[in-house]
Amino acid sequence: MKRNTLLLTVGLLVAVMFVLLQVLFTVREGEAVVVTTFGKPVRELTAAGLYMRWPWPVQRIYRFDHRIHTLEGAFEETLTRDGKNILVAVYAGWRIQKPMEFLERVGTVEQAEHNLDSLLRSQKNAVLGQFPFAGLINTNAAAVQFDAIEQQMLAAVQAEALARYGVEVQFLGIRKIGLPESITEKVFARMKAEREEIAERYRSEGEGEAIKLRAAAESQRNQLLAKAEAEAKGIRAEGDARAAESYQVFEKNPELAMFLRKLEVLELTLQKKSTVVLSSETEPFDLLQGDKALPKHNK
Amino acid sequence: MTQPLHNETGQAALTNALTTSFRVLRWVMAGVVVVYLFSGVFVVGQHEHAYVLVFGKVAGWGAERLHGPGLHWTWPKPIAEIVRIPTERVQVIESATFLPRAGVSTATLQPGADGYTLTGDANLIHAKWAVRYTVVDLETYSFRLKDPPAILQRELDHAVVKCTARFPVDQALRTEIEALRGAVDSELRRRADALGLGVRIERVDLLAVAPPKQVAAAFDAVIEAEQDRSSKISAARAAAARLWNEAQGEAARLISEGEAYRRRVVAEVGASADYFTKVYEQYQQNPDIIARTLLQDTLRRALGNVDQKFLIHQNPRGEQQLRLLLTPEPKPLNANP
Repeated sequence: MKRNTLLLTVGLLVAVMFVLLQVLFTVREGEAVVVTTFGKPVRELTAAGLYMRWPWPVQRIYRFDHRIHTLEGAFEETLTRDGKNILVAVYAGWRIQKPMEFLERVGTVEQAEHNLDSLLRSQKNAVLGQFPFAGLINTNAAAVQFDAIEQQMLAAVQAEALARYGVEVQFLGIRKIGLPESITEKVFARMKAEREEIAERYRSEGEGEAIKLRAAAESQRNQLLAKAEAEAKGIRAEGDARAAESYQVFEKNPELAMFLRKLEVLELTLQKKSTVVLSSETEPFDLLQGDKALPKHNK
Repeated sequence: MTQPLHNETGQAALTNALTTSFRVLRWVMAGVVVVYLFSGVFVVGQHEHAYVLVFGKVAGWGAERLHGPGLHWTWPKPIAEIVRIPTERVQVIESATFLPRAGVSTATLQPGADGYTLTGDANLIHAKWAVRYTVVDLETYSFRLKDPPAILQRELDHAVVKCTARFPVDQALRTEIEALRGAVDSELRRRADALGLGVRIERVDLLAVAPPKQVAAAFDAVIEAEQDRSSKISAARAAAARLWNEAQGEAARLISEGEAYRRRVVAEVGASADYFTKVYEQYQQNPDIIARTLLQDTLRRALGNVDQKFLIHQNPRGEQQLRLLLTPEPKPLNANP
């Protein structure tokens, strides 16, 4: 009896588990599930948890990744409004918004990516055709219309993706901008020419700047020296003026003053290696004339 | 009679075997249950956190939803599932989208194979970027995004293309590298927040930036020319500074000479005036003697220095005679006359 109870329990447990596996299913976090009844979608579930269903073949479940996927669009040529041929690659973040519609119209993530890629490509070409090349590439930040271009693309893709595939494109961005291969060679030629021009400008700027600096230095020097000379002249004049004040004393007897001055000059003038020729009348050499030179009262 | 006995023996043996089997089976089942329950034990590593999904749904409430480093238990599979997320550690994504093919030398850049980005003045440059980030919203990172690092790398590329497109090539390559890095950094932060990627951008780094090798020599020539300009300007500045210093010295000399002249003139004239005043007092009393004495004293001193002195005598008949030659030999210096 005891053995039978154990057998029965095990058997029952297995049977219950089999039934539960048939009627229960889970929806995992980040997953969307569509339940179909005889092939017709009847329920979509996006909240994680444990759910019930009719066993196969009545109901079937289809699981989809409900997280945001990234789609990398092709890096291919497109024309801007001003006829420039450029290559642009756009990526998009998308997720299944309406799982039932997605199941009916698309079916798989691969197919969705294929469809979205076509959509992205056509909208990219359409939007870029409305903007000039300078709207993408411009040193004037205010003229760059990157955000407007992306917003316009996103709006166009979003509406169509949701209506046609049950997919929500959440974000979109330009990942690469390039030029056709043949153009790159021309760009390199232009870049080289620009560089040569800049190099030449730097060299001539160096010369010019050096000349300017030297000229400025010369000018400053001349100014400084002129100022110093003027100051020195002023100082000398001041000395002469103060000397002139002292000259006033000579007015007491100008003849004596000139006589003393002559004496001073004479003494300063006669130096060694000079030859002096004097008249014997000159004092005190008049003594050499004998009696003639004697004082008058001694005669 | 022997047949039933045989059957009984067989039945007893079968019963014994079944009893033993059931006993063993019971222990085995108990063991399986224990092992099954123990298989729910899991370890969360130092730099990670974990969510437990019970029937697909995150188990727990509030902070209990997230399991930090340590030993934990949950229901085993298929009831529960453990999802591990790397956290705390700063993660790095590098982008080589804008690098050229390695080891290939061509005159052009092939789209798709050679990466590059366009500058605001339509020049091409290569660059390697990296972003360091930390996961802050683990549920978003784990359950809302399919491949967060792939999204982040595309967002990094997007920010690089967008920001480089408004920088002139010279700024992007040399003079404003930090500004470009900062622009990409803030653009990526803005987008990561707006899109709710669940990460905190720690820093965007510009690992390398260079012109394409097809034009590298021309760029080098510009750098050389710029250095040449700098050295010429530096040399001119040095020469200017030298000239200025010399001029200052010269100016100081001129002024100092002027001052010396002033002092000398004032002193000399002052001395002459003093001398005059003293002589004048004496002279007034006896003008002739003072004048003649002064003259003779001066002649004596002055002629004492002179090497050759000639006297011309005129006799009463009016003939001139050379009378006297004094000290014909040169005298040593400082010798008394």
